[in-house]
Amino acid sequence: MLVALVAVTTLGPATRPAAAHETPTEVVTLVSEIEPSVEGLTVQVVQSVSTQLVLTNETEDTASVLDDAGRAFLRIGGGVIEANVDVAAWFLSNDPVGEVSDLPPRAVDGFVDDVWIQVAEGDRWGWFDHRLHPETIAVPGNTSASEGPAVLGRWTVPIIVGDVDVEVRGVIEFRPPVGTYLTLVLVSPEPLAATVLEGPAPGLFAERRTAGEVIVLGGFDEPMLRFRDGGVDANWASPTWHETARAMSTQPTPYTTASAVADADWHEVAAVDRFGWLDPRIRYPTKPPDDPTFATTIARWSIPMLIGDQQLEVGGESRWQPIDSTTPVSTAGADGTSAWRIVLIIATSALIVAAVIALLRRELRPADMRAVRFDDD
Amino acid sequence: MVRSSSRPHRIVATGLGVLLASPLIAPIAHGDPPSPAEVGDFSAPFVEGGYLRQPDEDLRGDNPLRSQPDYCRPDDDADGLLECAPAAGSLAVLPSGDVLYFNALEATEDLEASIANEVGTVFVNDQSRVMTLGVEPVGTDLAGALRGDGTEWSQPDPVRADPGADTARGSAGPLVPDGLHNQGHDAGAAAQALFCADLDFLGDGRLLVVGGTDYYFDPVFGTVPEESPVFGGKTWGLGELEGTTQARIFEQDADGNVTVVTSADMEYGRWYPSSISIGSGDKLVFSGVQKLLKPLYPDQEITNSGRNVPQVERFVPGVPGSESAAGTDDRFVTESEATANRSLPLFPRLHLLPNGEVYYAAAGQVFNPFGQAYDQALWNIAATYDPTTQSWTDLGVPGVALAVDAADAVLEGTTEDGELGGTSTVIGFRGSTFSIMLPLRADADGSYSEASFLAAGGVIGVTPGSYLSTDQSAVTTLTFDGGEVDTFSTHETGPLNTSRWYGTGVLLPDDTVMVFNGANRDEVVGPGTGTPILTAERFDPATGVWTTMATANRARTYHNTASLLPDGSVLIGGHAPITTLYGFNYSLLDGANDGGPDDGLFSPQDGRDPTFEIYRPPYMYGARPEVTSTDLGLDAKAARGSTIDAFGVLPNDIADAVLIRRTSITHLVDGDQRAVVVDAAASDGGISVKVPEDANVVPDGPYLLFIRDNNGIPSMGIPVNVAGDPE
Repeated sequence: MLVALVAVTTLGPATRPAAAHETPTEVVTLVSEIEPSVEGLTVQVVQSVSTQLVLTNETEDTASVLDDAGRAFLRIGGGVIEANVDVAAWFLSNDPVGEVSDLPPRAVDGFVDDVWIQVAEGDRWGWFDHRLHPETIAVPGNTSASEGPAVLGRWTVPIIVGDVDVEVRGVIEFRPPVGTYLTLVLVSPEPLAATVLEGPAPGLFAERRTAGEVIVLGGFDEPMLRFRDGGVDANWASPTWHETARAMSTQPTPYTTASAVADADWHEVAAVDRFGWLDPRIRYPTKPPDDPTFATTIARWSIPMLIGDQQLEVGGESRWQPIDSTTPVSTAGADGTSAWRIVLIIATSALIVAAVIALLRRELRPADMRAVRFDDD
Repeated sequence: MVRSSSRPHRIVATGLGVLLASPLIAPIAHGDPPSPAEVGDFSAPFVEGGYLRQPDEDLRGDNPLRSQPDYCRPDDDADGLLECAPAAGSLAVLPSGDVLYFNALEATEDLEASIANEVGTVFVNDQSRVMTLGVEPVGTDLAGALRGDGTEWSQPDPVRADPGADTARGSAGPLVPDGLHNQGHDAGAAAQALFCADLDFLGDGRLLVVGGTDYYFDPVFGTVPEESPVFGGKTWGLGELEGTTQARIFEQDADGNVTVVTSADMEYGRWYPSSISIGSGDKLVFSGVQKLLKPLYPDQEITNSGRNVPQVERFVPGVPGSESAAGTDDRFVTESEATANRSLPLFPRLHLLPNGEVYYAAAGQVFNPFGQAYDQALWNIAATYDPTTQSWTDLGVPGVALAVDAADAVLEGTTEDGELGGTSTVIGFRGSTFSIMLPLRADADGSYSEASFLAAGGVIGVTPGSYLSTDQSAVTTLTFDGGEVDTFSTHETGPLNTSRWYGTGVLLPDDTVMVFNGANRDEVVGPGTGTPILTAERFDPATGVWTTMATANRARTYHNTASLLPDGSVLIGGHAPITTLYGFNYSLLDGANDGGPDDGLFSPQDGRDPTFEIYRPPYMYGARPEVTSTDLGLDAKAARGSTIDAFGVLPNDIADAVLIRRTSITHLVDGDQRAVVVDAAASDGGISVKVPEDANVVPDGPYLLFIRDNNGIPSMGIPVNVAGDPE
């Protein structure tokens, strides 16, 4: 039993229960391409108990997801999500393991007739698509981090949107963690002062120190945030802010799709001249340095802004810090991989030793021996 | 006492010690302690009777490797579960002086193999208890002090605080559609567990408990054949702990009986939320997560998944009716989602500021398995919430003085004084730490222009944090000008003498802060791998130094509690750890503090610890101001702005007094924790103390009033129930 427990523990972080298709945390599944691209159709990979696909269909057509035999088992359209209960893939797609022992007979008897039932309302659905779950994942033991991610597998999920055949393609990559990134602000033009907020999705916290208006530009060089006397405003017409506000659950914009070229539509988000927000431009690099054993600057980032009639930027860099020399009191978090590795080592070591002790104790300790601390009655 | 050790045992223990050599393992102080007058002392542990495992009982069940629980007895109601004494994972000192507490993670003693795969069938709703402490006989140095001997226990009605139907009350849908998989809601009996709820006093002294845990499987994997050596005959699946929407109210009548009634439901299920009283008498509830293990909500906006609940809800208490003491018109109202929503950690450390706003101290629980919230970078920002405008204001990142330009860029690990930020190497978010608001003091004009907050220990960084605990200690100070926050700064104090994860902080009536319990490593990341810390420490705000104090008797790591008692002593309790490395109860080495070579090396994982100890600070070992009567009525009510006259054996050098809110704590969090220093003036034969007028300084609710001499020695606490504004 202890051996089983060790196995559970070594599969991932100690807080993660075991699951089929559990993979090392260095293995990631990604959407690489949607061909052809369809506006309003998005597909994302979500990691839960296993990797899932989440399809959002905001087009006017119905999107149907096909199984390997070309039969549709899921369709989303008109605000309705429907399942084809005549297809085994539907039932399997709701199981993270993909092993449903009590499939309805009609779903295993081969092609009969599609039977569509509504399972939910909305334009979004997530399912366990087992094309993302190969039976075995051979993690290369000698992959050098400097070579970058190693592609372990590729997958394809066909979707029909209206009368357009779409292929969602993705990869399964191995990304050995050999260090961590520190993201720092190096340049912050007056009157703005800024610091990076560390986390899985980094952010920026900025304060206007002296007089002068600062307009932070979005990803399309459109006005996104405005630091002014006595407050900070967000431009609801900025597509960058539209997504940022959604992710932060702050004041939602009335726009479903904002336009970068629209006139600015300013609304106050802070009544003081400081504010923090998530900003995807401050992201960790995906490729380690050529020699990951040395600390080095690996990437620079910048967030443009208008100060008066000048375009300046808050700029910084992402530094590569090898795990062996990571300073424990670093800025908050980084990717936390090193902490989990410590857990893994301790957990595994402790359990092995505990098992030995348990056996020795059972063999050598008198049956009635136990600690008596104090009696209550 | 029987000491358990054997030669092979010692050898292996030594080997493990080498394997996990320092810096992972901090030394545990042993040896003769200084006198109680210097470092205080701990009472002998005491525990509710009737649960001690008898020597001939083997309660390990099907798994012989499980460590035996000390305070359980065999199943006596055929439900297949051991009967175990509850531990004080959550605790409140009621206006009567009785102690109400409830369990955490009830039934971990019955887990056979893995907490992750058994919660839906094994866990049950947590028990609660009311404890009436014994009193030290008159005539000793501790005259009138509370003690363990003579303590009595009773059970609230219902004892598991599940007055409603035992059905799930979450706000999230299943991960997979109903009907396609049994979600396991019916398989277990723990849909309304008290575990994970927050608790705070209402203005009238009743106790509001918000949230709770619904344990179930999502999905169920099936039933294991009877002949299987593991889970034989049991339903198993992938466990889920979902936060419930429910709120419950505990009320104690004049005879001491405590009943539990259901109040209104929140809109959002919350697991590990924080609630806090505001000056209006309402309560605000922040954060929590809908589903702990799989925070994925296919039926909700996609950005709701992978994060905690950003909505803020306001509890508006109704008027208690004649038929229902809870008041049928209690209600929760969701604050404006346009401005009030904010990503916060679980159990965010919150405080009501004297300007009426709520301060988020950039600290909380580091525990979001799977849900390393995608937006957790925002947790690094300290901020205030204005209940009037229902909006947030960012203050800054604690310890960070912002870079102005490249020439004086502030890089990792270096800081400088600045308008925002101060001198500190404590940067950003801190996890699993206490946050204590230091005593508020009025300026000469009667206004409160400053509030300071002490945080020490914990782990650094957002989830999953640094795993190894820190010894860093810092005070963050906010100043106010015209009701607005004017400055925000963080200054590092002297460090803890021992790095400590999950130490509970207690503000004493002499203005010092004590920290009790905890471990040297994060016991949520690696349950059972931490070294318990039994030695208490005391922080003197005048010097900024932490001093080692007395050593407790029992190891208490996760779900420990500590609370100031009316006599000025501190009640220590709790310890309900997660099973070892998320498997079953197993103490690495033997886990017992029995004089063996492995004492104190790892957290005891043989079940929960339902015992208590009482810590008596140094001021209890000398002369104290003695209050024998007051002009308060039997209900001890005092309106804000009113005067309280106290009489007794009071020295001439009475300096002042301090009003301290009664404790209601769980997971290091007491949102209403506060102390307010007030002037004390001589009156006819006694001392006269004026209750502050501002509801943001002393919100309605139960307090203790301590009279202090010029040396800061406090009297025993006088019960005061602050109720309403002056007429």
